[in-house]
Amino acid sequence: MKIGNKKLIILSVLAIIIAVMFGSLKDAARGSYDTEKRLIVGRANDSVTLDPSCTVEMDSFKVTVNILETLVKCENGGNEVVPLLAESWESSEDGLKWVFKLRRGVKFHDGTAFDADAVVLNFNRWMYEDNPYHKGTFNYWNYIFGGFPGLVKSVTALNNYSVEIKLNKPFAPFLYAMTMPAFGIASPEAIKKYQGDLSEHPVGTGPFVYRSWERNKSIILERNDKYWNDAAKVNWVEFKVIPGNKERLEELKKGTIHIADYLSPNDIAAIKYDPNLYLYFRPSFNIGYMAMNNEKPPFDNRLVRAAINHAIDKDKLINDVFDNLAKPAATFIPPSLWGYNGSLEIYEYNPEKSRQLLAEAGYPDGFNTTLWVMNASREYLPNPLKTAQLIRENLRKVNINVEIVVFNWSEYLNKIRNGEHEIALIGWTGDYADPDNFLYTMLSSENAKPGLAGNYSFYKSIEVDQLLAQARQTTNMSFRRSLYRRIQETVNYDIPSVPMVHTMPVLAARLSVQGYTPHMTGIESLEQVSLENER
Amino acid sequence: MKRNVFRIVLIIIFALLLVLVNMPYTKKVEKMVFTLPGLPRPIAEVPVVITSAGQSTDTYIINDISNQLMIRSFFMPQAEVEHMEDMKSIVFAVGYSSLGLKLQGISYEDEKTRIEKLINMAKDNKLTIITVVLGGEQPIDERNEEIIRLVGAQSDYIIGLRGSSNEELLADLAENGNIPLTLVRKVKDISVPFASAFR
Amino acid sequence: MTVSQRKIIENIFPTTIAAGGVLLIITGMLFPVFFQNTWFNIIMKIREAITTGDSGHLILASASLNCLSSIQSTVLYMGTILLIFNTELSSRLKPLDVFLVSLVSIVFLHWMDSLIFEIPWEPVSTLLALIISLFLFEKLFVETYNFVQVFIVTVQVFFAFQWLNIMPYFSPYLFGRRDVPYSVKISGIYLNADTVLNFTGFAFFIPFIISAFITATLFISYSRNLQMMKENHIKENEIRDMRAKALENRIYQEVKSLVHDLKTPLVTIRGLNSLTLSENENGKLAEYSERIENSVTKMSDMISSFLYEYSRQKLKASDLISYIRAQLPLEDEKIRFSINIEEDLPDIYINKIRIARAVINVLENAIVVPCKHSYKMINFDMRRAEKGINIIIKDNGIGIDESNLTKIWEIGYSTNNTSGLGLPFAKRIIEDNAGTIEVVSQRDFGTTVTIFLPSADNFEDYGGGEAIENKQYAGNCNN
Repeated sequence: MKIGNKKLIILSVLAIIIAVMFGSLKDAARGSYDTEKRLIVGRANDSVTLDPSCTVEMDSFKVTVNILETLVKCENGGNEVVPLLAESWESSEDGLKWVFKLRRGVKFHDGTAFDADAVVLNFNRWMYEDNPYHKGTFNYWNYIFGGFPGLVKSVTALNNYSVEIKLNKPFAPFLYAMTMPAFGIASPEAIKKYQGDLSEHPVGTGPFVYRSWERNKSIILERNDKYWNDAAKVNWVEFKVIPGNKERLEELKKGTIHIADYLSPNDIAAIKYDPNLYLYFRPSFNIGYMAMNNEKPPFDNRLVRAAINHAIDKDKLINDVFDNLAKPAATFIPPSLWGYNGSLEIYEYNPEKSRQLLAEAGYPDGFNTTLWVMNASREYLPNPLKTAQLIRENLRKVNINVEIVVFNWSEYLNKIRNGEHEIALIGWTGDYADPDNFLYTMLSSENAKPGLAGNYSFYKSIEVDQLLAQARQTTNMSFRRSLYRRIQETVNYDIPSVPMVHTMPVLAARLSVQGYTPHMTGIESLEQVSLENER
Repeated sequence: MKRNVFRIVLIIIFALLLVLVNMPYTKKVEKMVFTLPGLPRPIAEVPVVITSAGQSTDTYIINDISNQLMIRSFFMPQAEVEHMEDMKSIVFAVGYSSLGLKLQGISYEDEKTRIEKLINMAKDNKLTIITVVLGGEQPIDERNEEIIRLVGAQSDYIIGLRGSSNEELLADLAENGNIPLTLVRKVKDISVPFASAFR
Repeated sequence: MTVSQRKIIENIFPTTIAAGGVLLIITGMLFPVFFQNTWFNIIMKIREAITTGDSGHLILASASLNCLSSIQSTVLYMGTILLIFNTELSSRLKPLDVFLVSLVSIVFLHWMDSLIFEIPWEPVSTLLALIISLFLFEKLFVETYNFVQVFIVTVQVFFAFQWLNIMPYFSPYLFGRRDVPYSVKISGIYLNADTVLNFTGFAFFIPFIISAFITATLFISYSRNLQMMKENHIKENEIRDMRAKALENRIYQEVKSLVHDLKTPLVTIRGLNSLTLSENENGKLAEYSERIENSVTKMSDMISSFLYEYSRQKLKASDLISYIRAQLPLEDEKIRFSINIEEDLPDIYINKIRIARAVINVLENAIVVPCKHSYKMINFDMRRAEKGINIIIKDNGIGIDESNLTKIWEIGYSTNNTSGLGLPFAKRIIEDNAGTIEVVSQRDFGTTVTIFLPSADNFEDYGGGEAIENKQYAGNCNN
């Protein structure tokens, strides 16, 4: 073939390939980041603390997740574990030994180098009660590892960038547990400087640096320009506290805040047709329930508990209080989670039956009790007071007289952790897609220890404990599935509390907010969020 | 020399044309589509019939997802009206496959008729209709679109893939009919919204 | 492949090949119909994969799919190529235009097929495969003219490119967008087997493309090798011939010079013999001397004829006869000779001595052949023929069997224990002198040998009728 023709053929092939690629090129990245961007998030409650290892409540995590990073994180809606501060990891066959290879070239906000020793220091602080920096209640550690140190035997630095974690028993969701914001790594220098009390001094490796905290007003973070990954797209983030839903919505409409969290379902209509606003829904991944303290009579009587379950009209509740943005709960894990047992016998709304059961239990004329409620809306209970009022109505019908007591959020948490309540409204948003996260936290006796409890029902069942332990130890999905199904059946029979709703939390944001993806866990870091120019 | 240049130009034009013909969509969807990650409350009851609209292999995937979730379902890709006794909901897995139709020996017109009959029957008996559309990267196929319109407009819930060529169409259908719409990123993610429709 | 072979294809088989091309195109278009069950099987494999969660079935389905598509494309391609390259078009258009025409027509065929039978084709991958195939075709066909080889290379290219269609990695680049490949991909993604699909795709694509190029290269170099071998062979033969000839010549030259040296003693014998003759004019001695003179002359002639092998002279026919009669004693009473020479025969241009030798050989055969009659009759005729003269020797011997008629020319063939060299030698000499010899025979009836010698008028350049002895060296003389 002549040389001329050869060139032609090659040219045409190239032309086609280029045309193909050109055709499939996405649009160039939009927007330009010229002026200083300040993202303002309006929310109902302030954080309780900025030390994630010492709390369980979401508003704290929502802030600290931007400052402190964990070894690994969850991607794709809680399914896939991807590297964060650890580049890679390996586990031994029996799952008792985990080795994490750490990322190099990462620095904390105060300039300290991130290395294996830093990680070990953090772990030791959480694990050992006699550690000089173990100041505060390390709830999450207890929730997950059941003690200090609990499941974890030891944490050692193999070399500068390798950490080895040894467990006492295999723990199937271990990697997921490591994604929890509670296990964010703080700077060892800061730990030493503040003597282990980091509630107001979060120093981590994250995309944002802590700048200031005005209690009950706002927390301000600044972009970390030395972040090891792509820098955040906004310069400042402010978490503003606006307790009233109406006011929050107003500010959102005005544009003084960009994202409004914890909206109530009633606000949806107002937002849907506003051209500047956009509604976000978190996938339904929580449980809101009425915890009955099984250690306080009459709630130690199964029949009483069953009676109360029959007395609550969940549908009406959802209709009136949740504006139908929730579904009635039959058990303690959400139906979207694998392992959900859809064939449980439901305690349907039947006041007649309720009264019967009460009579059987020895309370034909009912009894008095107190119902505790928090004064802050939560994602699983956007309107706690109204919920409590409706419940009071329901219970009155079966001769149970309820006195409603309201506490502020942090006090509330402390008290119910101590088991001081009789009935309390509470809930749980999942941290990762594993039933263990829900069931172990809420139903194991390990978590029914006063002061550290996550098992607010203070339900203690040997059978369930054993099943939970077994399910933690195996990695075989179908085996775990069947174990969790059994657990749900047993718990359904014992019915320690009243599972009420699984909600679908609502947020709204201005259209200028781009790249915001609310996670089902309720917690997401904000470095992907950008503020476009308002049109 | 001139002739060569002329030929090169022709070839490039030819290539571009080919690309254009195959491009599913020329501009991205500018406006934000209102979607839900799932349904807040279940809208469908079991037992549910899972059937295909267009006889593509996507039905098998939907069936598998449903089985993994342990939802009480009956898999009948060529369900007729007479099979629908005692059923409370119907799931249409939409995807046009000429090969699939051939395999089952059904003509396109027959398939459309079958679907219409099912929809009418569902409406009459107040069955919940859920539409799942998996097809994505293909160039916009006329027949595929027709089926989507046929089924989608009458559904009570639509689940689709984000970034697919059908996204705009689904968004339109959802908005016009006030139908809740969920767009997921990956096929496996359909599990959550699908489950949310039933429990 | 030489020019002559190509000419054969162009001239003798165009219709066959064109018909073959059309047949292939029709097969290609009807391919989906023939293999409908295999297509259906692909869907069932996909279903199996999803139900069992085993992505292995997907790989099988992809393999099936790719085989079907690639063979169909290859068949269509071969058909079109056969048609285009065996009609006038290939000679009228420049190569690039042929390329474009092939491209467009194949794309068109695929598109038509997909419309009619509703089994989709993949534009991008098919197109890329087409371009590469046509490129390879140009290279390959020009060298080998072998369609089987083209087919082998092409099917590899098409097969390789089809695998790109089931790789989720290439989805954004417009590969695998139709129905079936897309189903495979999405099922793969669902089963978390997209890495497997990607890997398998590469694992097939890369080796096959490389193999296609290597095969093409191998075929080309093989055919080039064959060509070179043939040429070498011919050259070797030529060289061998030349060497043999050179050797022959050398030997010949040596013999010639030897024979030439024989002449010297002959001169002495002749001289002394004439002296003897002149001394004794009568009596037995004279007779003996005369006979010695005759023999010496004969010998001298033989030497000359050997030395002047290729020399020819213009000669009267009658001279030839005299010379022959002089050589051959015809005294046998049992043989009745009848000699008839026509008048005014044209002159012939031959090597007298050798032709005489040849005729004598034939006569000797006639003389010694057994005869069933009481006496033998041998006719010797010399007649005018077209452009020359015919010498006809007829005998009434037992004749030669028809089955043996061709054998008589073989060296060593003899029915009566003679050397078997006479007739072949005679044939060779006569043919060297531009004549012909024919034998007709009937069992028990006799044999007739006809020798044709062309007349001297046919030859322009010939030497004069000088006496042989005075002739200088003529003919080949390697200096």
